[in-house]
Parts: sequence; C-alpha cells; structure tokens
Amino acid sequence: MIEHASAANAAKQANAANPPPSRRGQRRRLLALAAGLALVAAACGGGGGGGDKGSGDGGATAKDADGPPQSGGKVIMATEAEVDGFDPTKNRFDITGLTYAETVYDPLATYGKDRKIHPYLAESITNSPDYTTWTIKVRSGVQFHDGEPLNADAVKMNLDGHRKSPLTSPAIAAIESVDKVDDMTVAVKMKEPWVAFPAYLTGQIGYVASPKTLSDPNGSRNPIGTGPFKFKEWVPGNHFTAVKNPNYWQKGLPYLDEVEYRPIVEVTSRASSLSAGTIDMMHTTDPDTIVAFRKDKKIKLIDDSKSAGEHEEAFFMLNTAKPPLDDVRVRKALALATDRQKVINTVYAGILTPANGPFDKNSPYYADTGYPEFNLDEAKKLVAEVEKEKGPIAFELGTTNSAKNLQTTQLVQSMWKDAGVETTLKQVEQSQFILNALVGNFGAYLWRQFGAPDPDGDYVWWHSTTANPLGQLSLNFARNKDPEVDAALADGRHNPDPEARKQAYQRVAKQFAQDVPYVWIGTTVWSVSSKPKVNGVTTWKLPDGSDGLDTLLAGRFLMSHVWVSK
Amino acid sequence: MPELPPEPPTVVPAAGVELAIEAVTPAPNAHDNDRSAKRRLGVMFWLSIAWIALVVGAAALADVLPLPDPTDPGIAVARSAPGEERVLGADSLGRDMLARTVHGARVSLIVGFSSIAAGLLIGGAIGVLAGYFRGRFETIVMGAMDVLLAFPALVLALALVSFLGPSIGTVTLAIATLSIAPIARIIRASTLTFAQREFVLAARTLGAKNRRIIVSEILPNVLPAALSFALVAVAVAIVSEGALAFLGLSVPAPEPTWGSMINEGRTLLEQAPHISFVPSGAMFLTVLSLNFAGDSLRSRFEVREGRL
Amino acid sequence: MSARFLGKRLLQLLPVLFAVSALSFLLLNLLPGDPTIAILGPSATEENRAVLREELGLDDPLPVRYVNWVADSATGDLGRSYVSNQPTLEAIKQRLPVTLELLLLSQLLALVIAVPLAILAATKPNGVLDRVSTSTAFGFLAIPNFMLGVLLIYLFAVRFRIFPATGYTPFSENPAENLRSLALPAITLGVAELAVYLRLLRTDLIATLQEDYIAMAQAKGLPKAYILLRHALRPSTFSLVTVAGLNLGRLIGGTFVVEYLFALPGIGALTVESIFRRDYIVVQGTVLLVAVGYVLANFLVDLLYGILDPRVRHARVAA
Repeated sequence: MIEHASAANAAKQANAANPPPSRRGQRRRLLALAAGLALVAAACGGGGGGGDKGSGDGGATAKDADGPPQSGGKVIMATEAEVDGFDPTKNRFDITGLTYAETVYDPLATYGKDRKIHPYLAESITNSPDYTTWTIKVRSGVQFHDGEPLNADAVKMNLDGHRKSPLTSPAIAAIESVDKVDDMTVAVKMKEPWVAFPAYLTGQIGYVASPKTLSDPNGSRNPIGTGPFKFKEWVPGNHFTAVKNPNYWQKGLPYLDEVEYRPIVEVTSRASSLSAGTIDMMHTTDPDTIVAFRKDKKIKLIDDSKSAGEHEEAFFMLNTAKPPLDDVRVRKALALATDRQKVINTVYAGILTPANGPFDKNSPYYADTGYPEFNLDEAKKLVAEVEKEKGPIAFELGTTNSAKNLQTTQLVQSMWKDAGVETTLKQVEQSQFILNALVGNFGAYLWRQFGAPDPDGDYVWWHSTTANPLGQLSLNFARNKDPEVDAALADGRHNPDPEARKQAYQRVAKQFAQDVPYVWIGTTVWSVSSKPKVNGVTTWKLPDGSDGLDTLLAGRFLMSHVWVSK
Repeated sequence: MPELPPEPPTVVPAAGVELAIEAVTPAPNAHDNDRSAKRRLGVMFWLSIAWIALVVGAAALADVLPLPDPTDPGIAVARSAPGEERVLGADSLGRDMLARTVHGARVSLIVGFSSIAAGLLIGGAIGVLAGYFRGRFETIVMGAMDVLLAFPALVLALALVSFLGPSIGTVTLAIATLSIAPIARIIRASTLTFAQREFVLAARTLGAKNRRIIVSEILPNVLPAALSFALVAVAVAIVSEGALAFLGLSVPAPEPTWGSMINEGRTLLEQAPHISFVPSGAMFLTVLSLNFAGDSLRSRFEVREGRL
Repeated sequence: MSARFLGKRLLQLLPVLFAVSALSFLLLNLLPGDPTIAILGPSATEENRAVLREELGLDDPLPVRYVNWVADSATGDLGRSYVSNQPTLEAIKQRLPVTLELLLLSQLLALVIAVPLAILAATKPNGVLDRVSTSTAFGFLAIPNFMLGVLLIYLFAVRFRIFPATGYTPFSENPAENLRSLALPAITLGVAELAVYLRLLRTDLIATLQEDYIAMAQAKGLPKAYILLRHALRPSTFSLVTVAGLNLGRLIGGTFVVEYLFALPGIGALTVESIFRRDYIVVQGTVLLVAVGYVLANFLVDLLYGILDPRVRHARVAA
C-alpha cells in the first residue's frame, strides 16, 4: 500500500537543515497533495503499464538476512519532520505523513512493482466503460482498531470528507457524487471521464480512517484505522508509538510488536543518532549522508536511485508572467547556461541523475525531450541578443534557507552571471516562499516537485486553467499557458489507452523543453539507512501475491513487512 | 561576627546589579597602586590588541587586498582542504576560504561594534536619566525595559527582516534593539550608586544644573564600567550574528559572514571540517581578544590588591 | 518582606504581560503570510483559503481577536493550534517540563563549576588558575551553540557511546535515561553560562576582598577559608544571582537551537516553529508563559537579594 507519493519528496533538504519552523515541509505538503493526486498509469485491471524503462532492481546496496522473517521486536525510526495530525481530510500527508499513516491506516489501492495499481484495502476497483463511474468494493471481515467493521459507509464518509476539505478537495474536484451501492460497495461518479482516478486512492485520499476519527474533534490526534499497528501514543515533537494489531486482515503481518517514530529534523543529528545506536533506522534525501552511509560497513543503506517509476525533480521554476522571464529566449538562455552535472557533482555529491524534464530515466514516460543542453556560448549569444533589444536582464532568484538549497542557488547564480544575467539572491522563509510562489511574487525559485506516481496528478500544476494572473493564488506557479500542453494533458486524462497516454505525456515534456518554464537540475534520491538487523524494507508481496513497490520508490516502504533479526 | 562596612550605601533595591556595580567601580578618590597597574596590561593584552588590529585592518582593506572574489565558485576544487590549493582551503562551492573569512570579518565587526554602540547610546542615555532623575520617569522607562526583555526576540528579529529585508543594517538594528534593555539596566544601576555620592550632593549644593552634573560627575564614573561591559557585549553580538544566520535572518547569500560560514559547514564536519573551523577559529580568536582587552582594561581600574 | 510589598510587585506583573502580549500579537499579524499557508501549503486555492480563514476567525479585526484571546486566557483557555488543533495549554504542559529541566540542569552545571573556580581564582588574581580559567571561559563563550552541540554529539554519542545522540525520556519513565538524554544538551547550554558566571563572580569577589572589613577580619586572625566563604562570598553573588535568575529570553531563540539539535520537545522549539507557521494562538500562549516566567524570576531574584545581603533589606525598609 505504498504510494508512489514521491510528491512528498519536496524540499526535504530544504527543510532538513532549516531549523525551526515550519521549514518543515510546506513544499513536502504540496507534494503530498500531489501525491494525493496520484494517478494510475494503467487502468485498473487493464494490461500494459507503460514501457519497461529501468531495470527494476532497486538501488539496494544491502541484502536482507537469510531465512524467513522473524516475529517480534521493536523498531525506532527517525523521520525528517513532525506531522500536524493524522486525519487524512485535515492534515497534509507528505512522505513523513504517509510513513506514519501506513502504520495505522491502509489505503484502498497501491502500486506494485509492475507499476500497475492493485486494490489493497479494496477488494476490487472497477470502472464503467466510459470511465465516468468507478466502483469500489472493500474487503469483508475487516475491522477498525475499535472493533467497528469496515464497510461502504466508512468509505463514503472518507471520500465525502475529502470532497469537502479545503485541503484535499482541489485534487478531486471532478467527483460528482459518492453513492452507497450495498454494504461493501460505493460508486464514485465523475463529472468527466477520469481514467487515472484510482491513482488517487493510492495516496492521502485513499487512506481509510474510521468514522470515529473523522467525526471526533480530537480525532486527528487519535487515529483509528484498519492498519497493521494500533495507535498507542503521540507526543508531538517527541515520539509516535503504535503496537501490533493482532486482528490485522493480512494474516502473519505485521512482524514487529511495536514501532516508534521520532521526528529529528536536523539531518546531522538524525544520522548521528543512527551511528550512535540511539535509533534503528532513518530516511533522508541528503546526499552527504547517503554517500557516508554507503561507505559505512556498520550501516545498511537502501536507496531508490535505480527504482522504476516516478521520482521527484529539483528545478528552478520561472515566472513566465513577469518580465524579463516572460521572454522565452531569456528562459532558454538560462537553461543553456546551467551546467546541471556540475551542480549535481558539487552540491549533491554526484548522486542525482540530471533531469531534462519531469520524467526521469526510470520512468515509463521518459523520452528525449530536446531540452537545451549546457552550452555557455549559446547562452551568452542569446542573452546579448535580448539585451540589445530590451536592455540588461536582471531579476530575483529565491530559495528557502536550507544549506543545500542555498548552495545550489548560489552556484547557479554564478553560472547565470557568466552568461551575462545578473540576479539578486533572496533567502525567503518557508511560509512566505510558498505564498510568493502562489501569488506569482517571484522571478526564479528553486523548487522540487512532479513526483506524482501518475502524471495526471501533475495536471493542476501544468494546465493553463490553473494559471491565474499575478497577485491571485495560482496552482500553476510558473503560469505557463500552452495550448499544446493543455491538449496533451486532456489526452492523458481521458484516453484509456496506455500507449496513447504515454505519447501524451511525452508531448508535455517536449513542450516544456520548448517553453522552458522550468530549468531542470536532477532527480531526488531517497534512502533508508538502518542497523544491519533491520530487514524487509526492500521487497514484499501484495495481498494478491504480486510484488510490491520497486525498492523504496520515492521513499516508500511498508513497516508491516519490516522485521528484525535476532 | 562580621562588621558592617563603614558606609552602608543607600542603594535602592531592584536589581542586584546595582550592588555588583558598586562593588566593582572604584571610589573616585581611590589611590593608584602603580606597581600592580603596570602588571595588569600584560602580554595577553597586547596580543589581543594585535589580533583585533589585524582583523580590523584586514576587514577595512578587504577590497584592496590581493584576494579573489569571495563569491566566485570557480576558484578551487570544492571542499579542498587548507594547503591543497588555497591557503585556507575552499568551501563547499569552491570559493576561497581566506577571501571569505576576510570579507566575513567586515560583517562581524560592523554588526558587533555598531549594534553595541547604538545600544550603548540609547540604552546608556535611558539608564543614566532613569538612574539620576528617579521617580515616575524611572518607573515607566524601566517598565518599558522589562517589556523589551520579556519580549520574544525571534518575533522582533523576524519582523525587522520581513519589513526591512535582510541586510547588514537589519541585523545590526535587530541586535542593537535587543541590547538596549540589558544595557539600560546596568547603566542605571551604576548611575544609582554614583547619584547618591557626596560629590554629586556637593555639586548640587553649589548650584550646578542637572545637565552639568550628569555630564561632569556621573558620566566619567559610569563610563569605565560601561565600556568594559560593552566590549564583552560586542563579543556576544558577534556570536549572535551566527545565531541569526542559523535561523536564516542574517545577511543574505552570497555575501559571507562568519556566522553563515560556520552554519554552512556544520553538515560537513566529517568530510571538510575546515569549512566551519576556519571562521570558527577567527570568531574564537576575535571574541577572546575582545574579552581579554576588556578584562585587562577593567582590572586596570581595580586599584587595590585583594587583602587575602 | 511584607505582604503588601509582595502584592505590589505582583501587580506590576500585569502591565508587562499586557504590553508584551499585545505587542507580539500585533507584530505577528503584521508579518506576511498566515496559518492557512501552513495548513494548505502550495495547493491552496483562493476559495479554500477564504473558507479556512473564515473557519479560523482570521477575518475578524485585530483588536477583536486580541480582546477575545485575553478574555479566554483569563479563564485559562489558551485556545487551540490553528494547524494541529491541539489545545495550547496541553502543548505547553507537555513541553514545559522538558525546557525547565534543561534550564535547571544547565544552570546547575554552570554554577557547580563556576563558583568553586571563581573562588579559587579570586584568591590569586592574575595567577595561573585565574588566567587559564579566564581563557577557557571566554573560549566557550566564543563557540556558537549550534556548533558546540554538533561537536558534542559527535564526540560523546557517536565516537564514545556515553550518551544518546538525540531524544528525551521523561523523568517519571526512567530517571537514569532522562538524565542521560539531557546531559549533552545541558552541557551545550551550560558552558556559555559558565563563562559568564565565572567572570562575574570572580570579579565581584576580587572587589569585595578589597573592602576594609575583610582586612579587618584578617587582622583579627580569622582563617582565610572562613573569611572567604562566610564574609566575602555572600555579598559577591548579586550579579551572579541576577543573571542566573534572568536567563529567560536570552538574545535569540534561547533554548531553541539546543532543542532543535537534540530533538527535544521543548517550549523553545514550539515557539519558533509556531512563529514560522504563523500559528498565532500557540505563539501567544508561549509568549505569555515566557513573560510570566520572566517577571516571576525577576521577583525571585529580588527576594534573594534580601536574603543574601541585610543591607538591602534595611535599605528597602528605610525606603
């Protein structure tokens, strides 16, 4: 029941080194939502999930212990942030949120290693021939932790809650109604054909919370679900503990007796905690930590650098509605002036893969997009050409306060300066950063996004209908309005043929290479490091017997399959 | 049984700082013990002065010295250690550490000295006036100082940065504002002890105006203690710039400051410790020198040897 | 200390509380952004943001909101966090013990080392011990605490596994673990204090030792140690007591940095996080707490003066 919620990978690094405060991942939240918008690549039950890009062998550098999994034991995991609560209709689930959530909740559907969507808590998810109605039937005999049964009423309550929620409603605006068909089945009617809807059920929107949790004003701090662990205690900022659910619907799971999460925002403190033995496992995207732990014989490290599927990208987002970046030649010049490999080698210890679009090499939607490769002379020429007409090019370059983001921005600033573009660097506090992006109060911002498991999840960030004028909140931050992109996105949303969808999204990526609303840097790498005795993070089987998600894709794994060897 | 000292001072209760100040400041007619005074300004003092002079000089001449651009990432291989390519090594982007440290000194010194100078001016004025005139004025003013002391410093710093934008000026203003209240309290305490002395009473009897009394009787006695305290405060201010950099509220990149340099290298202590240690070392030596100098100056006024 | 005096001092608390809470409320609300961004994040639409603002009562005029908050606080209701919906009082109850214990331990540590050292140093001003302790003290002052913390974790948690790297165990759960989990944070916080206390006490002691009554006591033939501890120490502790008591609201962040590095769920971390998320309600709660604490500390310090030095008591009565 892992989400390809790579969306959550946002500004991890940004937030990691940024103390305090909400640095915590506004962007992660954003991505979390995008994760909630996750779309499915292939229709449920259909065949053909995209091409076979990527070897499917994870980036795992560590093997699990031999022998069958052993029951018992406790694991303490350090996460990179604290969550605000556990109500999926009220609190954003970024990667950390999802990691917490899947101890006490189950999602209706999940991705498999085959990059197809498999029903998980649901028994079946079927579509009407025209894709305007999706029917969800949940498994029978499943109970919430308080003994209440899982049924259609509960599912309907969850979905209706999302439709009303200021947080999650934008993603599912296209739902017209949720109707109970029988005790275990609901029918979701759409306003338009929606091929990729089940992908959303693999994310925040698909996690089924007990009706009690949803209706209780304190429910967000007292989650009740159907998950492998029962909620025990939450002291915000200190720890979250959950204990084994003896009545879990997947027999034999979970292996662990107890799991404890501790938020340790500062990445050096988190890594030190693992080295010192204070905790058993941790996750991070910080490249220095990944490199160090890869070399450390006492630490087991797993990463998703080779996992097939969608990863999140780091890039500079350009405000195409504001001069001088409204001129596509300027944007192209910036892309030509950016030596991605150098940035990756200098700041990210070389572990990121350079990106040329929102789909990386391991994604089925990857294609050669024609994105401008690094060429300083070309860049200088273009800049000179524009400056002759319009005068000197100058604008504001912004980032949040985290160390890695600052380094990337300073490095790229000097690269752009070499091409003749002067920029002023602005360090912006997290909260203001997001607000500025929303209202268009920026020139170029360092951003992380586009890890939605299905590209339809990125619809709201790319479509011209969500590009509002400067000063108004706009989900299409770059405010790029391209009818070609719109048409391709519509294709991807309505056309059930997987090959046609693939073509559609490749068209989107190619258009981005023309419009250059984004100057790409590279794809994020997620890692989980642990003591050698921790196993079960890399592979597992889904209830229907197929393989679970490819190694740690976008930072996701299942705690219910984790076990410790004695 | 201990005997009370000959002259019980008529100190007004409030902060024990008053008594402490009284204990430390010399009576205006104390005699000088030349032998011990000479011993006070020893080697450490002159070493400290030398370092401070070096730092100030380098900071002032930063643009003229033959140093590379501190913001240019192409100078050397990123993270190279001191001695490999550059004398003090290169930082995480390949910028020259020596150039960055010298330019960073500028920010630290400007922020440190001007913020405390401003704090001294305003806080000192408030303290002297409150301590001299007493009464309602004092209650209201020191109440305001209480509010300032109890106020959450981060909100203030954040507000300043939001409204004025991050810059050397904003950082200086933030630290200056936060130093006013403690300085006011200490100066007031000091003023209190002197305002009750006989020579002030004498001056008043002779018909001297308040302004003249303050300027020629009070200030000369309050100033020495204030100045040596100020030097310590400057050291604290320099380190506080680091705290602000940690929170992202200091001078923005790519301008180097010691605080932001230390902060940047904090995550690379194992791979490239010099990135943090070089500016740390500079800050360490500067703070140490300031404190030694201040301490030596202060002990110069401690005129008598301990009797024990 | 008469009851009237006590009452008068406590009454002085109120204007300060009002002023601090009103000012911080004003400033916070003037900062760009609001809690809806923290809640909704980048996927906020105009409509949803407006809906949320209305739900949270953020559209009411500032004075109205402030007065409502004052009225609620007077009855003990500090509201609920905009972002997590957790009652502020509950959050404070969870986190206050952590910070208090941290402060207590760090002060204790600093005093336990500073006082004996200062006494010894004062007996031989500019002697070897004096110079060495001076340099070391200033040295500690010069290390930013976010550096010191990282170094201590590396040395004493990773290299030599003496203490845990991060985390907090409540005293009631496991006293030994509790002390272990706070050891490194207390040291990080304490060494800077140590430097200040050492210098203050040493300076005051040296000055006191120059007083005539000390010479008199020595002339009477009293032993050195007796004079030091019985006659010289008490009057010299005033600035020490002042600063120790007033160690709330230090320059920037206070305990925040230490709490952040060591993942301690304390008030410092709560305050800073809430400020950055514009969680006005929670910030008001912590601001109130700190202001109350500050004034109480002030008050306690005054009480201590009276105990430490009879002159103050007499002077006060005379005044």
